[in-house]
Amino acid sequence: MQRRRFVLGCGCAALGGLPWAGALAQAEAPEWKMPARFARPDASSDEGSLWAFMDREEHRLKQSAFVIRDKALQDYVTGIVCKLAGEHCPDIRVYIVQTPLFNASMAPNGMMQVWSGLLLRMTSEAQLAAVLGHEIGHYLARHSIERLRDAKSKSAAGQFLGILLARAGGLGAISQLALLAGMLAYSRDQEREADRIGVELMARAGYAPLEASRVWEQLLEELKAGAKDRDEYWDESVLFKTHPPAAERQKVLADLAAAKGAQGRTGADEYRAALAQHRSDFLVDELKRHNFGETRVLLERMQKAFPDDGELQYCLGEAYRLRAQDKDLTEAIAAYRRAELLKGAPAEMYRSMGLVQRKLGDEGQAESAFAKYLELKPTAPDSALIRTYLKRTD
Amino acid sequence: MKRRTLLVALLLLALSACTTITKVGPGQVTVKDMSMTLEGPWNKFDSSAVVLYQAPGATEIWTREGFNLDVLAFYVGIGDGEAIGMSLPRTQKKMPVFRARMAPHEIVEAFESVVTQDGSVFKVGKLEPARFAGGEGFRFEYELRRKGDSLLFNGVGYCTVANKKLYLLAYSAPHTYYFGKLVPGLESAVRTANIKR
Repeated sequence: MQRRRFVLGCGCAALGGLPWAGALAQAEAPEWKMPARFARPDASSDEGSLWAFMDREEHRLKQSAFVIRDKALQDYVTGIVCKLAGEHCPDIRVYIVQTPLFNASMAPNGMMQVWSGLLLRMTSEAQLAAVLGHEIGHYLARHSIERLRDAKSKSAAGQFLGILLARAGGLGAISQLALLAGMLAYSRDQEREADRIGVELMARAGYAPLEASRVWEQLLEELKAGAKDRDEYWDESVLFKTHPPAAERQKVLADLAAAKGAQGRTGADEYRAALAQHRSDFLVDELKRHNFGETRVLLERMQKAFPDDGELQYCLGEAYRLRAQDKDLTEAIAAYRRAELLKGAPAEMYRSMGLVQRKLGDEGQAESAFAKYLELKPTAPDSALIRTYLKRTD
Repeated sequence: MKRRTLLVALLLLALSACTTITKVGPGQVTVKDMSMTLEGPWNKFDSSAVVLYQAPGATEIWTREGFNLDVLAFYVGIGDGEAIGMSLPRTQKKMPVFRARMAPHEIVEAFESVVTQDGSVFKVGKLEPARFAGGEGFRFEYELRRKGDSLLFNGVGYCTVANKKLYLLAYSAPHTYYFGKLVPGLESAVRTANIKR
């Protein structure tokens, strides 16, 4: 559901909306000029209230244990933001948040959140720049303020918004933010504009603008596979009821990129290096979503980029093991066996292999796998229990 | 901290307005067909009224200090093929199904998927064989980082499978102060657990 909220485009959603027919004309629109840095609004103004609300959210976020406090990663992502945002760089504060979903957000006060699920899904620096550029686009165009004023002009919503902003702290903070985000969801035109600015910023920073359309293509593949796996009817018109057809957006982003010239760097190697220390943790979080369809597509995409990576094969095996339908257990064993031939699979793979072999009724193979796990991790916190598994297979 | 206090107060107000909290113990008490002898009183929460993120769909939920602090969740008498727990309305997640032949590792994974639906982060620690409720079972330790306020909880679970049914108790309390203070009372209660086999 959270993913859907993001795609439908709340006031804080990345890639929340999509340009489509008509946006081609925008590719030929007059050259976009970056606005000057924003001064802090008057505290008594509506914009000042919105900033104050977001300042309180930021204060809460700063204290959250879900923020990943790794200076190297922080500096890397902030560096990308600064390349994109130019002189606005000092006004934007990046928070990398441990949440295994595709999302980034940008508040009008300069608070930017980047979720770990987004970092895992991007294959290059240019792809991350595409999402961040889109969010910075909303910020530079001051879309939140536009939406706030539009909502306030509708009397009932306006009264409620006034109460919400003025009484921040009286309700649960999360519900307040969700309410506000829902009320300030970006319009189609705003999404279109943010995409256009995002591609512009990418091109100016020297990134390959075409990567923006690839981000969208990848996300769609995952969403479709997830829906199919859950036996849900895939209907884009429901998912994107406030937005244009996805295929058109993908094409328009590609056209916008072509208009900018398809040249530019992707920074795939730098991106891989920057994420290296965290990738295993992000993969574990991804598996725990128990969303087989989306995870399988993600892992297969990563495997194309890194065919010799044993950890990715292990994770694919885990995805099959956790779903455990039809021939999944056999598929899991096959993936573990492939991982064995590569580098990078953790010792826990042999524990998983043992569990699966037991389910398949192959006690001998199960025993070998459990024994291998204990050999590799003799002091594992579950070693005593694994020994009882061995006794049962005797 | 002020906001957190207010949230706790609101939560307790909501609980008192909408749910029934009854005293259980001291002495012998039963949860389905499992009995325990308690040295002191606990508070039992009518779990049919409100879903607690740390124990969605639990058979019973108990506490010593309050439901925002320590939680003893009972998932007991769950038969082969029955779901463990209940999905939160906003996630509509498919709940894991208990199978009598599940390995302890798989039971812990299932429990984790139930109690992390709100985005909390679960990390299992020690997992070891243990006698529980008159039979062979296992004990596990875990950490839970609560999504709502990022508070770190320590947890301990006991589990056995008897008569092809799942009997799982999981107790969690804040890592700072509360867990260390309250876990001995829990452990002494657990030692008295019994199921007719």
